[in-house]
Amino acid sequence: MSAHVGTRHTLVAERPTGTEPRPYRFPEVRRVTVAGGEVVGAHLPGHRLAWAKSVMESGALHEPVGLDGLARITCSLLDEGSLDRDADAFGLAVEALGAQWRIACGWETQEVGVDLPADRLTAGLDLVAEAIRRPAFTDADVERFLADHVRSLKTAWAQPGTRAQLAFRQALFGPGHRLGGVLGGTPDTAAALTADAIRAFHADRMTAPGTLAVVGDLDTIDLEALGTIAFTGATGTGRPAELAEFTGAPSTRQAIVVDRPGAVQSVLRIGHTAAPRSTPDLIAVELCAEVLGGSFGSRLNHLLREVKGYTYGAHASFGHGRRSGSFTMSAAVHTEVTAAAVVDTIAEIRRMHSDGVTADELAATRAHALGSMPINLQTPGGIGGRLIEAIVHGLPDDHVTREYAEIGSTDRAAVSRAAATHLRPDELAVVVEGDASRVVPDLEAAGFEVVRSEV
Amino acid sequence: MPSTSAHFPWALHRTRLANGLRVVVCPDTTVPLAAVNLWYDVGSRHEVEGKHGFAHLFEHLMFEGSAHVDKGGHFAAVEGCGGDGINASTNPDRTNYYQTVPSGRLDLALWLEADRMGSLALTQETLDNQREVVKNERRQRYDNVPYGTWSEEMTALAYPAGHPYATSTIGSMEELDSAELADFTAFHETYYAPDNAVLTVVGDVDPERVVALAERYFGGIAPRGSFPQPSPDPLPARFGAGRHVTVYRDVPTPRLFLCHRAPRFGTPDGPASTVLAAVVGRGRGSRLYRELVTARNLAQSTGAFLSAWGYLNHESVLMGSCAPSEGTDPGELLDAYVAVCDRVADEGVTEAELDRVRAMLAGDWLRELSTAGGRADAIGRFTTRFGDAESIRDHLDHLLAVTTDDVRRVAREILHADNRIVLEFLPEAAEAGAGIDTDEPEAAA
Repeated sequence: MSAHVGTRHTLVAERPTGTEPRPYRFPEVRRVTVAGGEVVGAHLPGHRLAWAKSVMESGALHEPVGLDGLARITCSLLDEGSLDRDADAFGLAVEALGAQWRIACGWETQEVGVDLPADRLTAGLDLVAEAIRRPAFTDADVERFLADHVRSLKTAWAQPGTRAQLAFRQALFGPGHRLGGVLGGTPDTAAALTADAIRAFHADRMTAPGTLAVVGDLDTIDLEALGTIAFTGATGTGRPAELAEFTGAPSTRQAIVVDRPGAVQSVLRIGHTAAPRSTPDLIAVELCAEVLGGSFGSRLNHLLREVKGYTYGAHASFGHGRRSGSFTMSAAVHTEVTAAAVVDTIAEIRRMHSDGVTADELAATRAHALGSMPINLQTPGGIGGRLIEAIVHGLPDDHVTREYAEIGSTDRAAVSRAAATHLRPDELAVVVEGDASRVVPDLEAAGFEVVRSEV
Repeated sequence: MPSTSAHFPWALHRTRLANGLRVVVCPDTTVPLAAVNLWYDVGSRHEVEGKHGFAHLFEHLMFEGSAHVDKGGHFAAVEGCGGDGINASTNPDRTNYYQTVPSGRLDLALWLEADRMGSLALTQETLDNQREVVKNERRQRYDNVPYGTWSEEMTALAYPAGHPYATSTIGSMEELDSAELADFTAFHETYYAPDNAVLTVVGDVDPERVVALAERYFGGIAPRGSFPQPSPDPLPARFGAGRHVTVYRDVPTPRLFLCHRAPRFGTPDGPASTVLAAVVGRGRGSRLYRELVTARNLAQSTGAFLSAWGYLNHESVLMGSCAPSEGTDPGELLDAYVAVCDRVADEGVTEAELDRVRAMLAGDWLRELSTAGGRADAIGRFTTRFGDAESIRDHLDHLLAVTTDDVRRVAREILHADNRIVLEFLPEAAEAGAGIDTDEPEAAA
């Protein structure tokens, strides 16, 4: 290699190796049952921040038919006024603690909580409980919030990728299935949401105790007292939603095009349904996905970005839900190379499916997965994410420590077998959101049967 | 003996190598990691006419190989040793390179950074490849996104032509296309030197060993001695005239962007301008949110209404934005926005409003420092700006000490009518029938 080295410089040629990382152990987890609910705490001694979230069985799959987005809207309205104080006063109370209000809405569950300085945890949890147990949902607040929501969806739906995502999910799960929509709903479904529907959803789905997850210095935190705050006033039991059969049947021979006239880039979404998190192949699947499209040096990012310059970044990953899953490749590529990027992507998925990973790829990926675990779990929020995973999926308290061990012991044969089993290169939904007048001829020339999506 | 303070309780060990490299070590044995961060005091403000975007494109090329590292080898080596949080970024002021590795791999991370400080393996092929990557970055972040060019268009209005902050960091397609290999070897030779950088290491490390390793890997890189700097004339405290520019674009709904000239980070009025922006325009409890969203339903709730950008080297800006709610005329919203600002300038703010902001800023600071990587980057920023890492200890104290009088004083200056540029985005469809916009008084200073 020819390198420009200033002649005045002396560089050390020999690459240092260093020492192996110490094995990772997830923090100690403590559980208490109180006031009809369970508190799950992770112990982070001496940390100056704390984090707490309530997990409820009230995800998008619980929404009545035709009211897509209701779960998220109801959750988002919780901090817009309670029976104790109005929306402005509630917002001020959260901010006066230096807290950040955190909500997350998934298909099966929702989470509401705070991330805040450790010495304000109890006061923060008082607010979480007030929001969940005593929301006001006044007509005026709901009306204002819904109008704002409809308006902001206009902006969201003008962003590249939003419609591609809907077309992709429709192709995977079927347009009539709730999983075939997007979590937050569409401008059309938003128009059907009402204050009555919001109050009813809360009454039906968000009054059970749920589970409280807490991360902080547990030697200074009274989990029982926090549980009492969180669960007082709760009634009923959370229950999983009904789940219909998926009806999507995508084929790699088709390209689904969402028109975006004049776009200088095309957004790609390529993938298929996948196993839920309970698959025994979970770790092998994750390692395979990391090699294919997870790391910077992954096959897809290397080829599409570092070799061809088609994109700023290409990624592929599996999402593992409780009862469903998906495999998704995503990238934004410039219009002129759209068909070529699609063909390259499918070829890489096919190659991974047939040949699996190399020994070098697995070694590097395993080292990265192991070493980066403590890097990504430095904060209470990072630890909290793994606690929630345990709650939602019913995993043991030491599931992260076990995962660490399993990553180390998963061999190349297992990862290649997972690639052969969990990738389905002939059943890919291929979605392109771009300037149809320019990308359709190229996709047809590449052999795709083009289907227009009107999402 | 290093001092400590309540808001930054960690020890700091500061050393300067013979070649001028400043090394700051912040030990923290609670994590099995080492965050390695380099702040180079070079950014897009150093670019010359016709070569905008080159500092950022150069940053990409720093991952394309050096004397002993292959193309892509930096990422591969860091990920392959168990590291993560690897990246770099370029802004008008600086370029930072960072990664976090298991603490036993500190040597490797330092060696990789030293190799690319002292050498660059550049070929026409890697330049052509990364040029295309950056052009796609521009499309993805600016050109293919509604309102995506607003900050680029606003800075062109807010700074006089030729000012170091007048152009975007990403550069234009034409300029990127014109880039040649020699531009980047010269850029490396000119600005990438130990005496133009701060190396910060945070984590489970021994300060003496870090310094010894820094000496081993960086010690052979010669200093450059001096670095060409832009030297724009100082700008007046205010623009000098209000301005309203309307553009018609492919956007779904109207949106307003507002810019006010403001003190740079680290000047006496810097903390007060940060607090002012938060009182007026940050969060649920801010003046603008409560007035425009909750009380009058004129604006959408999303987005920051006002924030301090905190440029380091020259006059900075307070940027704002707001989007009208359904059925609201953008002009009515703008009037209401300005009225809120005027009231703050006329009447000042309350102690309770300051307390809200103090709590938010204290929470921010805890979060920023809560990871080794975040702490390392903050140390690099303070060392670069003030020449001494110890300056980080007082940062939050300065913000918490801001008084209602301070806020009112800076509000009168910053939120003055002749210190406001409004950039209004309207949907293209609205252009039919609209005449050429002449509502453009005089140019900004």
